[in-house]
Amino acid sequence: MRCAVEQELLLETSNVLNGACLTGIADQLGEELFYSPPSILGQGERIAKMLERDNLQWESALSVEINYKLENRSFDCDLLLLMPDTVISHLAGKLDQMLEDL
Amino acid sequence: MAALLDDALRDVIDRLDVGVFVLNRDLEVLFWNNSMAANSGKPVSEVVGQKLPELFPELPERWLRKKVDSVFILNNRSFTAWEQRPYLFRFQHNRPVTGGVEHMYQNCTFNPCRGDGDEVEVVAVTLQDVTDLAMAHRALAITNDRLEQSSRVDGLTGLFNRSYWEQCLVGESKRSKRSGSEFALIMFDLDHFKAINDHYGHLAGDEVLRAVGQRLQQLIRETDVVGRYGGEEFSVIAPDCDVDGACGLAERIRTEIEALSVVHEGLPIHVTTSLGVALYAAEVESHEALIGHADEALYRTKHEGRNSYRVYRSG
Repeated sequence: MRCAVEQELLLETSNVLNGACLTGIADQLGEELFYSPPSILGQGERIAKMLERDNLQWESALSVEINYKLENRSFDCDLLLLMPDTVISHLAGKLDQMLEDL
Repeated sequence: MAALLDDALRDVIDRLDVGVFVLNRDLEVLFWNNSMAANSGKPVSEVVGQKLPELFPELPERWLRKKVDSVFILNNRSFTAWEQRPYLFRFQHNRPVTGGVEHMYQNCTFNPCRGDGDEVEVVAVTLQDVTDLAMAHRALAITNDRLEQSSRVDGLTGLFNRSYWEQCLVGESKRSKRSGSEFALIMFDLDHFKAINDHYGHLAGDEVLRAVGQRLQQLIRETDVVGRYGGEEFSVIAPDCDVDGACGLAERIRTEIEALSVVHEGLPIHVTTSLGVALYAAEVESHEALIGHADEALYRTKHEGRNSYRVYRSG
């Protein structure tokens, strides 16, 4: 039971951080994002193992790492954004457009 | 046209087989679709305009307020999943075959809805019945547990099989190397077992093995790992155990097996056992070397008269 409560808290926290970050990016790009409920891929596992190539549908991805810390609290985490190669061109197009508009 | 479309959409939402309801900041219900009405037994007329926690006192109010508040403040979708929170509303499920499940498993999404301005004005909640999925997951988990169990256990004796026992030994060696703690390995086999098979038949032999397995499970500590190593060969890993402890355990196994009386077709069968004890310490190179040590001690026991134990001496 404790485990389920912990997991729920973990998902809730990730959802808030992800949501804030992704909404911010989407706003700047003028895009509407659709996202599915967060889920736990693994716990206490090495990230490299979870991202083994056999498990993925893409060859390479653009990765953005964002570190979150709370002052005076023992809270520290990394938000890892992985954008697969198939969507990069779309993103690049959007960025070009933004630069032109400047 | 727009009004027609609005009506049509509202009708679709009303008839969806997904629960949909809308709350304001005070948790007052503004919309309640058919699915919610049917599952809760509370019609729209009783619900709209009322506060959700008052309608459903069993809801975790404090949690719900926080959840809804976060959606209002952050303008961010929020979720609940059945894995962590099996249900929000305790609804009955509509499965014909229950499989021991008494309620509907639910996944919920809390969606912020903005009015004309930037502020979130209401939160629309969708509630999906995922009972089927949850039941399938549970069945799979139970099957996996059983498979894992049966892949570890020797069918005849109920002891761990050799491959799982070896995994444990490797694990214990690593743990010991890290922490510097000692553990003991005892290998033993039943004396003249072939004669029992030859004399009473293989069924009798099997019965003896089963009885020995049962007795072993009763006399070891919870942390000890006992396995069937081969035909009539057994092995015990005893963590955090020194020479005295290991000798005590070996002697206990010896006397308990000697005291066993296995009745086969009305005839009592008695067996004795020869044991070899080895201690895992820093100078032991590997778990294979440790098995070699215990085997060597066992060989000496047999050579020097059986129904006894010897401790491995280096050199």
